[in-house]
Amino acid sequence: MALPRVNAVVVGSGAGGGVVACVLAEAGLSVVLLERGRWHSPFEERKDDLVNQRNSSLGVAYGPDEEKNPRVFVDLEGHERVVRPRQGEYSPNAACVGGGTVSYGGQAWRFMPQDFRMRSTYGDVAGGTLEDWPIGYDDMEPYYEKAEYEIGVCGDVEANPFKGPRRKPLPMPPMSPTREYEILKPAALRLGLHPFDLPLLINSVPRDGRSACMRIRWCVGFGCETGAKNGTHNTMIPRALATAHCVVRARSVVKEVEVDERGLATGVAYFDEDDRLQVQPADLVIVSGGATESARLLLLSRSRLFPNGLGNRYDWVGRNLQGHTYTGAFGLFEQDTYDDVGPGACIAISDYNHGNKGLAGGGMLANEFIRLPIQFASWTPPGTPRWGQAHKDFMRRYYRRHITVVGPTQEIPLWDARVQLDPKVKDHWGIPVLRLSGSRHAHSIEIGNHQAARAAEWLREAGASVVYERRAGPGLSGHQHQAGTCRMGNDPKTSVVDRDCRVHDIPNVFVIDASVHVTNGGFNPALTIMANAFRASEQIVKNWKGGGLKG
Amino acid sequence: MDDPYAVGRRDFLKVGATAAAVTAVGCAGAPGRWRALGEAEAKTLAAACDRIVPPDADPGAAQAGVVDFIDRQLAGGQRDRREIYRQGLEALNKTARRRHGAPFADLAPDVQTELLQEVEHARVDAADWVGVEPAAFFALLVDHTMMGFYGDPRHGGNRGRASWKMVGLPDPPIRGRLHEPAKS
Repeated sequence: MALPRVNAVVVGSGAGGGVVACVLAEAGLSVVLLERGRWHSPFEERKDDLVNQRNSSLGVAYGPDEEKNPRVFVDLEGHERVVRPRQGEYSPNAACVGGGTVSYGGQAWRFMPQDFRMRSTYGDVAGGTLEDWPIGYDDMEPYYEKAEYEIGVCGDVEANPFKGPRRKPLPMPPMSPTREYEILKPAALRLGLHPFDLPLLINSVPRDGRSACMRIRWCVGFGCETGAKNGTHNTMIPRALATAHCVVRARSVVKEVEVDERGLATGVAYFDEDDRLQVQPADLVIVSGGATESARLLLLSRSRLFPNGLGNRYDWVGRNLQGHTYTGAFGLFEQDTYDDVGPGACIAISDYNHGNKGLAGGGMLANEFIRLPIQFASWTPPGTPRWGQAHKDFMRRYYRRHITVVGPTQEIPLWDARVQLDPKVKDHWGIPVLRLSGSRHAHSIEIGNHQAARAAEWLREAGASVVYERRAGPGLSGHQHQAGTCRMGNDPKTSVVDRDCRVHDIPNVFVIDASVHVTNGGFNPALTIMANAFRASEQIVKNWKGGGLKG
Repeated sequence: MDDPYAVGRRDFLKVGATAAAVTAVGCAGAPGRWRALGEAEAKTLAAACDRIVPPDADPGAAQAGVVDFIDRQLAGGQRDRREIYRQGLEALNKTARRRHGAPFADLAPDVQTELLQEVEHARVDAADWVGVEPAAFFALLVDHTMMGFYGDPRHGGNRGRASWKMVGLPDPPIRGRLHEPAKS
């Protein structure tokens, strides 16, 4: 039996869906926000270093459920195996109200103008599917500002000469410097680089009824027990609920988007928290499940008019999966670098995002969030055994005398890096699971290794006595920065959604999350997902005429 | 200040006695003290873990409760690894007997280390390692020992936060350290 009809059903409550639900509800549309995970309270965060979204040795803390949500991973040799959320190959994204924004590090980057014009800037890169976005930085600028102010960002990017133009400074000042900051900043300046206070979606001062950051050191991968970390769960979604036009249904697993004989979506079918099948009719369907799950839902939504799934007439859904190649360097020092002050990442350079000779792109570099001892145990330099007395000596000597500098490489998208539906394996609800396959473009590896060498230079200049690089591997890219699987473009033959994030061949279905990113910037993508969600939902509101869209 | 590990600590007192008995190898203990491991297996495991994180001025793996951590995992979330451990520990003892005429736990520490290096690089007699891949077993053992030694005490290892004290993490482990305002 169908539930009462609403104007919009939003599938997924992360960086994209949380914003969409709020903008639509505040414009007066009735909204149902479906989320497959559950609500988490700041008070239940246990800071378990073996069970979190950063180190999932024993599981993930914010979903998805380990047993109910298998996937199939196909490795570079073509061997396939069933994987679980705790395993890296799964490309896990948190599944809870707020999605990844509950437990992310909260780096709040704007992409640079060149990042929206990668094909125009660098030309074709053989073997890849490099393309420009159908929108530019100027289209995004007002919405970046909106995201920074409405969700809340601290930092100071004024010293970054490579950034795109901006009308306003960040709304909150940076946090006071840590010891790593004091070591790295002068070193960067000596190298002629341009260090600045990295932007974070964290309150550096009390704001919006929540406290300032308490500088707890275990931050990224965990929820914030003081609520100072700003995600959609404590900003946009509460605002949406306050309108009384929006309801959130947690633990709701969407099975498919239902489509009528005219080729319009009529709503979604989903399993509720008691695993009962429900149908939620809606005028609009917005898919915001993250790059892997959004593609899965489009592929699952097969019907007579759309035999290969929604938006998939030209076989683009699920392709171009890209996260970030994460490379950098480790530096061991002979004096303490550790001051026990979180959140960790605080200083960055954007000198190597573009303009690297012979390379089609680059990426930002920043000091890493504070490491867990269990993570540090696997970060031994070449020549140090991974166990035994020498390993223990390394841990004891260097845990407090160590800095890591890392950064995300903007990747060259690949047609064969993709998610599909697995023909055999089903999840707890009997729905076909995702099958991940493909590799990383050789040039992405080259760029990543270039960044690693630059990170090593910075650490050497900072006085590290031992420096060793973390270089790029050839395996499929995805993980928490997953993007690209429902490309945005003007040509329906070479993309899935248009510039307003509307699926080309079905006018009342939208994809609003990192799936639509044509390229993924040399930056953490959360703020771009949020800004684009503000932009696309504002466009929906403009075209809304009660009961449907204009035109 | 409330101790965030108050519950874990009660648990720890309960199991503290068992692990202490394991380190004092050869002591007869109460039957059924382990959840998944047999008494002899626990003894072999304690000896192997102590070569991965050896005791010195700071506690080694066994004293820090790594065997208890692994035992809990094998009885809980990683039940599917029970068989790998059973076979791997048996194979380790077979190799020890073949080469040195004694079970692994009775060998001198240097000899144990050397033997584990052979297992790590799969330079062992295939007849002793039927059904279990030596390098894969050893990699799992190292992973679990690191988790048990450096991970959160709530999982049964890192007793008394031994490793966190060793690396110099201030106690208690979770707190905001800086209460000054942001720079203006």
